[in-house]
Amino acid sequence: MSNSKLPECDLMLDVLTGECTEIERLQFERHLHYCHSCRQEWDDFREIWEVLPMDMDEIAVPNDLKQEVMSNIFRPESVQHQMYSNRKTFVFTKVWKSPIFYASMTVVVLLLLGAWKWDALHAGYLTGNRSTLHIPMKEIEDFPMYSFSSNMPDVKGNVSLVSQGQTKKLIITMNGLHPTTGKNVYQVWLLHGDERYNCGTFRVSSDGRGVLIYQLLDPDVQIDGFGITLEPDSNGSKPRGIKVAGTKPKQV
Amino acid sequence: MDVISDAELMRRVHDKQRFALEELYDRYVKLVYSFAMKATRDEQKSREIVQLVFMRLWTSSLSFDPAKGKFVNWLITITRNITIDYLRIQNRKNHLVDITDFRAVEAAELTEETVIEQLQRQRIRQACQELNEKQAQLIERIYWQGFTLSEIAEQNNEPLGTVKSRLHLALKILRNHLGLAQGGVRDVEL
Ligand SMILES: [Zn+2]
Repeated sequence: MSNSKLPECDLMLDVLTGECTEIERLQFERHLHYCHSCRQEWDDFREIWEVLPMDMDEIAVPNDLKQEVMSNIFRPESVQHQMYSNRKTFVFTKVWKSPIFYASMTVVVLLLLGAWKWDALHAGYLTGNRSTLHIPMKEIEDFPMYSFSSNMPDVKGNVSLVSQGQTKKLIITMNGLHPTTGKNVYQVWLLHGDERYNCGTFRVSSDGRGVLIYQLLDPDVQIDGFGITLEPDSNGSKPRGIKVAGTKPKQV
Repeated sequence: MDVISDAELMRRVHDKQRFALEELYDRYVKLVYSFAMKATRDEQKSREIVQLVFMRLWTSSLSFDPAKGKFVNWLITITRNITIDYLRIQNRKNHLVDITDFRAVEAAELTEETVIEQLQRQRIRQACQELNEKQAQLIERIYWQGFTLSEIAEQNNEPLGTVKSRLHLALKILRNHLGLAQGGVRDVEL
């Protein structure tokens, strides 16, 4: 461990914990070819990372959980197609009524945006007052999304505008995106005239899928379309990165 | 009767065959649930994570490639990603999960594990015991709770380099106690 270190040696832990950019990862992979000490450690550390989950106790699973999970997935009337669809019917609309489903989706929502509804929803949920989660959602309009970047030609998806009680939400489901690395995020923008309103960010893992639910601050906002950009981090209030997906421009 | 492989089951999940998802649930729910309990120490949250994981298996076009490794590792990766996403939401609100009692989770009965799995489990546990409190806490935060190195540096008010060296040292301790370093295997009592 007293050998001379190169700057690339320092990348190992970032790569291991997944906190690196794609470029850094490739840089480190190249470095592994000629840095013997890194190579040795890398293999061992990778192995440790893989066996770490073994440091957990096996917990007995509650007996009623299977029924709950399955009935949320297989509602009697639930559509057995893929979740994302260009058609008007969206599998979510068929499973709205399940409290756990809501709770689960709440989680997804919160991951991806800043979550002001969380307290109320979650508190209600935990205290067993599940009825607050039962407000039905109605679909208002679908916005099919298309690829805008030759880098990611397979991108497609959908933005669904739904109402729930007095609020309006966007449900964004995308496929075919490149996985995000480091602090990169995809950011959704609502287009109105020349304005671009932030509608939250999401990350994508190797499956290329992204899901985001966003509650509109102003339910009466005019919507001309949507765009999705790849951003260096989740702090932007204006698009900075390249546009990867968007609605087709309206014919004038 | 032949046992259907995990990969075949996953293929059938793609074809929307319900029994395949149920079979995968029966095989792996304990793993997913235990992982979630270890990370969240909360039954309700763990139930929601289980829901999210199996929902993800069913609805997304995730495909499992047996050439790239074992199904169980793939599933753990998905579970970990979902759990981390889940915890990140909460951490945003609560800043930190109280980690003082993370060993308090009750151990339940061991099921039909192979001896090898038991051995490996035993080894990793023993190795984890060798970490001092700060190192164990760091692994806990990074691996189980999904904090980034820089977030931890910020929380601890320490330079990033200090956190990195601590992780590096922790990994080296684990390596030595897992017998990876010199290829030797430590004695394990079962
Ligand atoms: Zn090196």
